[in-house]
Amino acid sequence: MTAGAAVGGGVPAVRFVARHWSPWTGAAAAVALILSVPMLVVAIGAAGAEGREVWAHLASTVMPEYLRNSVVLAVGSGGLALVIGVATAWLVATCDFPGRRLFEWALVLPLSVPAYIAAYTYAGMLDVTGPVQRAVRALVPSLAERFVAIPIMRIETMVVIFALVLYPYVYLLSRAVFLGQSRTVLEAAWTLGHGGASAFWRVALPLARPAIAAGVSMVVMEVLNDYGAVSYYGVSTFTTGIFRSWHALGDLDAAIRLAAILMVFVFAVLALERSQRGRRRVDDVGGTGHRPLLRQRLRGWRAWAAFAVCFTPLLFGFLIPVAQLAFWSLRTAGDVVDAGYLRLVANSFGLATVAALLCVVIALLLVYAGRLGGGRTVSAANRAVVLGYSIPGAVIAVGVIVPFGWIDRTVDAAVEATLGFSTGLLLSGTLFALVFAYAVRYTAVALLPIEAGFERQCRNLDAASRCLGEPPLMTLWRVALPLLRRTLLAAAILVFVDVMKEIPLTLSLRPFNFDTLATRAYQLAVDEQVAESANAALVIIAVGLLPVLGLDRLLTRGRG
Amino acid sequence: MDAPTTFRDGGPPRADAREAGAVAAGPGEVPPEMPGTVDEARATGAAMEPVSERPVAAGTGDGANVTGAGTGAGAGLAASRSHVAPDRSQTTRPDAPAAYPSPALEVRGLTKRYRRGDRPALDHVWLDVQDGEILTLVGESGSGKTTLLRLVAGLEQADAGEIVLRGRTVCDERTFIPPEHRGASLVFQDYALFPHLTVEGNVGFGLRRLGRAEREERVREMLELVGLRGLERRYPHELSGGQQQRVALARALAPRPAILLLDEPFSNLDRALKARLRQEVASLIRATRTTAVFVVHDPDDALAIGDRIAVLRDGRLVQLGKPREILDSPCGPYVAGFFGIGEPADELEP
Repeated sequence: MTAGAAVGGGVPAVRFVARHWSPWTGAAAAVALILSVPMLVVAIGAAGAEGREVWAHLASTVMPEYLRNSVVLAVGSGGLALVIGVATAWLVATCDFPGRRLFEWALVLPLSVPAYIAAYTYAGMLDVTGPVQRAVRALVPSLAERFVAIPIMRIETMVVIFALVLYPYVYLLSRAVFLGQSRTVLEAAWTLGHGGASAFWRVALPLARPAIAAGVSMVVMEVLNDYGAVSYYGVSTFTTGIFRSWHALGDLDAAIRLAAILMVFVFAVLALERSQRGRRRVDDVGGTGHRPLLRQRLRGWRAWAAFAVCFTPLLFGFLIPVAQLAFWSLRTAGDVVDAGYLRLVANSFGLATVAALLCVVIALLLVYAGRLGGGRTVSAANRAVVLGYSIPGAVIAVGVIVPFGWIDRTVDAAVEATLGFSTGLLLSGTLFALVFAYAVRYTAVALLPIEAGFERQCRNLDAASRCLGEPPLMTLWRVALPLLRRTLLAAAILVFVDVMKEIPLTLSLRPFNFDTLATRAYQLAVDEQVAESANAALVIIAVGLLPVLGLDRLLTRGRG
Repeated sequence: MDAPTTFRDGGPPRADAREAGAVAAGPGEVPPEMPGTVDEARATGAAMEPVSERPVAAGTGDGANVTGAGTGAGAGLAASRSHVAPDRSQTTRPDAPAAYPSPALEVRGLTKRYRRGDRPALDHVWLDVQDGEILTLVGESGSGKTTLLRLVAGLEQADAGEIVLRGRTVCDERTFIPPEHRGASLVFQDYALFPHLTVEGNVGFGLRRLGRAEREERVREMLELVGLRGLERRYPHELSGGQQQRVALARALAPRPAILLLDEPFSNLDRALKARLRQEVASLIRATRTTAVFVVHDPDDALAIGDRIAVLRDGRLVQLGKPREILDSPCGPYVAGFFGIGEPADELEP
């Protein structure tokens, strides 16, 4: 053993002046700060003194309508999604009926259909020239007159469509709780004489409340974030208001103010969810024993009722829209699929890949900085980045365009003054701005699974590597990356899917003449060419099926 | 092997130890059929085999060294010394400090609080570990022993105090040397073997800077040492618990660490295996003349392995001394109770 002699007195020490500071902490803090710029811009911009009259103008004109519509959509869709999600989750988790095993996973499928695609598909199906009305006219000519008069594109339809494609959030979270708790608590309730319904209301529902609240708040977040569907239906909400003030009226000040109100809205939802959660954790379910629950076998009309309850949301949330899109797509594929279409596909996949890689790298940096003992700085950085996901795209778009525009103008003026030529737009209206905005919104999507992966797979392994002389970066390379390969891939896929279907950020920040599948599908739908948009929409849905179907398996196989 | 094992480790170690302490005065008289006592005997300078040439003799100047370590901060030292057994100065040989120019590890007034306002996990702990010595840290869960280990390894940052490793300050108010520059190897409670690497890959992990041939040679040497030749290509999940632990040990020893830290290395093993392994591990560490700090929560383990034992309670050092000293004169009822030496002496000595 020569260590005693080798490591003598005069070895130069690696000294850090500030003890809790490391390059990783600094990098994490810097990245989080940069990603928070859009939020800060909106918050500061709204608090600015100038533009009192903007406020007054907004408050007296459009505000009441935006507020009313946003509240109706949020409460209506959230409530309906709650009913659908909890009912299906309860049936699938605690009862046995024909098709239960199929429903278990199929009930998640509607999540792969973006709300705006469902919205315009139904609009196309149900309008005067659509298949439904034509069928009605052909079968019962006398009804045709009255039927035409029923307006489809209204806020009530919107509420139903949102609920149909977003209820899986509630379904997934509450089913997990029902499955976990039923083993012990529900059987106890049953033996104490509380039958199905009674056990549900008195035991299962109160216990699942935090999970249900979390699911509903995710639905509400998605609704508040939506731009494509509401603008297609002509329902004025904060998001459409932001874009109208900005694009149509050129009033960025008003846009910032509206964005700030929307942000307050979102924070209120978050706070509400948190208060529901109380001291419990959403994932704090059961975990006692692995005795499989004896499901109640339903017979006769009860079984068919259960089947109907589960089949209806699946039918309207997934099967009908996808079937209709497939039909349209077959009819128009010949015209639609050309070189331009392939460029769209390339744009979409390229953009989503770049964004996914960037988000995964940033998330890895943040999570790893936390594991290196970044303390409060890094955990605050992580929280700021996670918050980005709950900020609606419209708000982020405004928060990105303002500082980037300012940088462009400043640089342009400086170069013009010194060198005598104009640099034009360097950042705004470039892919850089768009990818940055994606990173602001979607890094959280990558961060959460990576964090969980580190907890699950690397417990002491990175510490072991450090003790064996490997510095952090090498440890990441030699230990974390090989072990977390699948987790990182899963995280990247999640971001990828989100970016593929993204509308508000892409529409407002993309370079001139740059289109993705999502923006083109949306534009075609807006231009009354719904059938032509079907092909792109199907690609988006197919990509969206990836995480819905494969992610569970990817993550569970990833162990070991 | 069950019967002798249970006698040796599960049985009445106190009696053994006491006897050992008694016999140790006359070197070489420790009965070989009482292996549990060999270490104590060795620790007290009763040479049984060449390993004891390492310079740890009776009464490794515990008191004296604590004093030496605290020369800079008299006040803190005085406070900490009050925790230490009062009679240890009697067992300290006056010539002991001279034999050890500098300890392998010095811990001075180390304090760590995980959350502001909480009771500190570690509260002004002073101790030292001599070159080639094995120190065991014992205490109940939450006593701060693992915290101390992680602080020495550099996996946590201290709130106050200093850590000097081989004469180099690795931690004080202004210094924090990250773990990869400390040369302190840690054997984790769950072994933390890299699941994506073979046995070979695990043992060679810390030898990246060596050349390929050198690295392979060293890996072979280490696997020879822990008796795992032939398992080079296995993955950790294909090994038994005892084998995994030996891989962890080989991996930690391979880069010739300045100090070896072991965090409850036996807690995942069943009792019979544990009894065998702790002797094996201890003799391995002695064979490589590595300085080591063991965290254990079983007082029997502490007595069987340690040249000296540090007893922690609620983040404070309650007693630091050789096994015999602790058994002979436990510092207060807590330590006595912890080692189960509360009973009257005449019960043990008929």
